[in-house]
Amino acid sequence: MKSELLYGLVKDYTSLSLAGMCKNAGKTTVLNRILQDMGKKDVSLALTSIGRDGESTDVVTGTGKPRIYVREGTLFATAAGLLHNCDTTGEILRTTGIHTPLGEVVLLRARSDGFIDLAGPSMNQQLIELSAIFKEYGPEKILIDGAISRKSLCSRRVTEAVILCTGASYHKDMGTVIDDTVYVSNLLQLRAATGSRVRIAIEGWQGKKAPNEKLLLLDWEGSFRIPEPGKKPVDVLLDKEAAEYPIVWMEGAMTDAAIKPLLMSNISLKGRMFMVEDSSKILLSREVCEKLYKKGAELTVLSEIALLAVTVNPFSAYGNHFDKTEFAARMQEAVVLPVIDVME
Amino acid sequence: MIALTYEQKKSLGFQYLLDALNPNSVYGQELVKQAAPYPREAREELEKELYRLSCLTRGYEANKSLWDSLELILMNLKEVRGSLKNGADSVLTDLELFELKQFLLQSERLRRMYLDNPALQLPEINFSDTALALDLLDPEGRRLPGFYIVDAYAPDLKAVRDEKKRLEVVLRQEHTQERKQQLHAMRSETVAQEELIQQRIRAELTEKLRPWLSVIQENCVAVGRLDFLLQKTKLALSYHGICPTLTEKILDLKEMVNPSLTDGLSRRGKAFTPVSFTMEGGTAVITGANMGGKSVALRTIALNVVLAQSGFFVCAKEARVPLFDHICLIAEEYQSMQNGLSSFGGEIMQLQNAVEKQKQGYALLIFDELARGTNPDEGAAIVKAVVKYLKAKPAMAILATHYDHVAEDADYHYQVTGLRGVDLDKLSEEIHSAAGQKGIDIISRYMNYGIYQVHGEEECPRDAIHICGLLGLEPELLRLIQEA
Repeated sequence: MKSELLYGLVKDYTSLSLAGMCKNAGKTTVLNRILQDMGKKDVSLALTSIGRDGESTDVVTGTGKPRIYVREGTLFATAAGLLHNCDTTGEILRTTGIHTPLGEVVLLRARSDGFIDLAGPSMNQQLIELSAIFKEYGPEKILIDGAISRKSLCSRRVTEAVILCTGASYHKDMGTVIDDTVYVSNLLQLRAATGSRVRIAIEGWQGKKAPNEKLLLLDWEGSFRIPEPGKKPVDVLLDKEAAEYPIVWMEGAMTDAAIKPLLMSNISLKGRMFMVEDSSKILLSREVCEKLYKKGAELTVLSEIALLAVTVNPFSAYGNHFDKTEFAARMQEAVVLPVIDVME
Repeated sequence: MIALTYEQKKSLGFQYLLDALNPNSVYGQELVKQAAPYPREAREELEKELYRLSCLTRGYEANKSLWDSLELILMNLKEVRGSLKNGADSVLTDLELFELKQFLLQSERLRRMYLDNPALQLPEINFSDTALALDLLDPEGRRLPGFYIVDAYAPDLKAVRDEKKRLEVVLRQEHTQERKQQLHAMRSETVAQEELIQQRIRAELTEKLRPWLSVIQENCVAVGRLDFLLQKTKLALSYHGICPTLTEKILDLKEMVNPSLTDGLSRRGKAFTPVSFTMEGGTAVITGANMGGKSVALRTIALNVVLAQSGFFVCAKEARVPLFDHICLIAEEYQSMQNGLSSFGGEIMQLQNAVEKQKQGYALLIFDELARGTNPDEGAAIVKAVVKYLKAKPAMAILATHYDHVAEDADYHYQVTGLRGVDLDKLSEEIHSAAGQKGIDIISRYMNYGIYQVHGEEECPRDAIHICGLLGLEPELLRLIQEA
C-alpha cells in the first residue's frame, strides 16, 4: 500500500471513518496501515467502530483475519464483552452509558502496544456522544472502523472524511464491483446544496417540528410548506402546490419504498431536488437511484462528507481473485479519486 | 403496606409530583419508583423522614452552591450492586473493579462533603469511611478515575510488562514479515504470562475487598436516601409545601392545593381555589352540582394525605394528618378495563374491597361519585347506606356525591361553593351584554370551586337550575324544571 499517499490524504482531517462495500474488502488492513503511519508521527488517536464487525477471516493476505494493532497511548472504545479479546494492557477510563448486545461501551487507554477487538455504538446518535467523550481526552484524530453495510456509512455529524474499501469479495464480476462502488462513491461525494436560506429554513423547522413530520417542501428563497404529516412523497408531490417548491426535504432515510411509487407515477420529476441530511441517509438501490436521475431529479445533502480514496482488494474470500493491475486500473478510470491497492 | 396503583397515583396527582423529581443516581431513582405511604406502624420512621426533610428545606436557601456540587457527585455514583453481588462469590473483573473504584472515589468525596457541611448532616443517614477499600484499588494513591492492574501490585507483573514493552519497541521498527511473526509469537507469550499474574492479583484483590462489600452496599442505600430527600426538598420548596404534623385522629388541612391541577390551570391563565377540610373520624360528604369541584376537592384531600404519609411535605398552609393502615380510592375510573365488569359492577367490587380493608385496620376510604351511573333513586340509596354503615365504624370516609340528602346522616357536610354569594342578576346582565362571548366561560369565571362546611340544615344550593337560567334555557322548560 502506498503508505505516504494514505497518510497524506488523511492528515488534515480530525475524524475519519472507513466504510466497506463488503466483508474482506481489506478495511482492517487499511486501518492498521493508518494506525502505523500515525504512530510513527506520534499522532494521538482515538478509535472505535460502528457496531461489531462480523468478519472471522480476512483474505487480504490469505492468512487469518488481521487484528487491529494499536500503539501505547491510543484511546479506544469497545463493548465490555470484548475486553478479554484485547491484549494491550488496558486502563479503563470510563463507561459511556452506551449499551450494545456485547455490553456497555467502555473507554480505555492502551497502556502498551497490542491487539484490540472493537465493537462500538451502532447508532449515529451514540457515535456523536462517543465522539464528544473522546474529545474530552484530547486526541488529535478520531478513527471509526465503519461497518460492512452501506446503510451505516458514517454521518457527517460523526466524521469529516471517509475512505471507501471495496474488493473482489463483493461480487464475482469485476464490472459489477466497479459499478456499485462508483455508485456508492458518487453518493458519498454528493455536494451540499448552496444557499443558506434553505438551510436556515430546514433547521428552523427541525427545531419545532412535530415528531411525525417527515417531509418539507421548499423553494430556494427558503419559503416552505409542511405537508400533512404521514403523507407519502408521491401524494405530497401530486398536490398542485408542490410545483411551486422545487426542493423536497426528507427527514431521516430516503428509501426505495418511498421513491418507487414516485417513479411509477406520472409526476414530473424534472428539476426536482431531493435533499437529505447527509449521504448516509440515502438507502436507495442503484437501480432506483439511476431511474430517479433519469427522470430529471437531483439529489443533494445538507452536510458534505469528504471521500478521500477508494481502496481495492483483488483477493476474494470466495476464491475468484481479480487481476490486481487490471482491477486497480479499471477502478481508477471510473472514479476521480485516489485508488489504493491494499496489497501493494 | 399501602399499595397505590399507577392509575390511582396518576389520578390523585401524586404521580405528577413523582415525575417532577429528578433523582441523580439509580439509588435515588429506585426510591422514587417505590414511593408509597409508610405503614401506620412505621410512624417513627416516617416522623424521622419528615424531620430530615425539614432540616434540608430549612437549610436549602442558605447553601445554594452546596446542592449543585452534591448533585454532581450523586450523578457520578453509578450502579455497583451487581459487582457487589458478584464479588461475594466470584473474582471481580477489571470492569467491576473499575466501577467499584469509581464508586469509592465519589462516595469518599460525598462523605467528606457530608461531614464538612452541617446543613447536610441528617440523622440516621451516614456514610461509612471506605478509604481503605479505595487504597486497595488505588495502591499508588493517585486517586485518578482510571483503573487497571498497575505494576505496583506485584514485582513479577512489572518484570513481565518490561519484557513485553521491549518486544513491542523492537516490533515497531521491524519490517521483515518473518521476523515480525517471531516477535509477535514472543510477545504473545509475555501477554499470556501477564494475564496469569493479573488473574492472580484480581483474585487477591477481590478477597481483600470482600469484607468491604456490605459496607459499600450500605453506602449505596444512604446515597439513595440522600438523593431522594434532596429531590423531595426541591419539590417541597417549589410548591411551598409544609411539614405535616402527624396526629392520632384529626385530619385538618388548610388551604391545600393539588399541583397537577394548579399547574394545568395556571397554564390556561386561571387560578386554583385552595381547599380547606377538617374532620375527626366518621364520614364526610362533599356535595355540589355537576359542574365540578367535588372531585377536585376530594383528590386534593387524598393527595395531601398520601403525601404526608409517604414522607413528603404537603401542599397546604397547615396540615395535621392521622396515619392509616389502608387508603382506598373508589371511583369508576380506577377499575381496570380488562376485568370485563360494567363500570357499576367494578365500583361495587371496589366498595366490597374497601369494606373488607376497613375491618382490618384504620382506613381512609375515599369515594368519588359512588354509583354515579345508576338510576338516581337506587344510587342515592346506595350512597346513603354507605354513609350510615361507615358512620358506626372506626374509619374515616369521605364521599363526593351529587345526590341530595345523603349528607343528613354524615358527621360532616361540605358543599362546593359554586355560585354561592354571586349576584345572579349582575351575572345574567353580563352574559347578555357580552355578545359573542360564551355564557359558559363567564359562568365558570364566577364559579368558586372551593368548599365550605355546612352546619346543620341548609338548603341544597340550586346551582344547576341557576345555570340553566343563566344560559338562557327555554323559559317554559325552565319553569317546568323549577316546579318539579
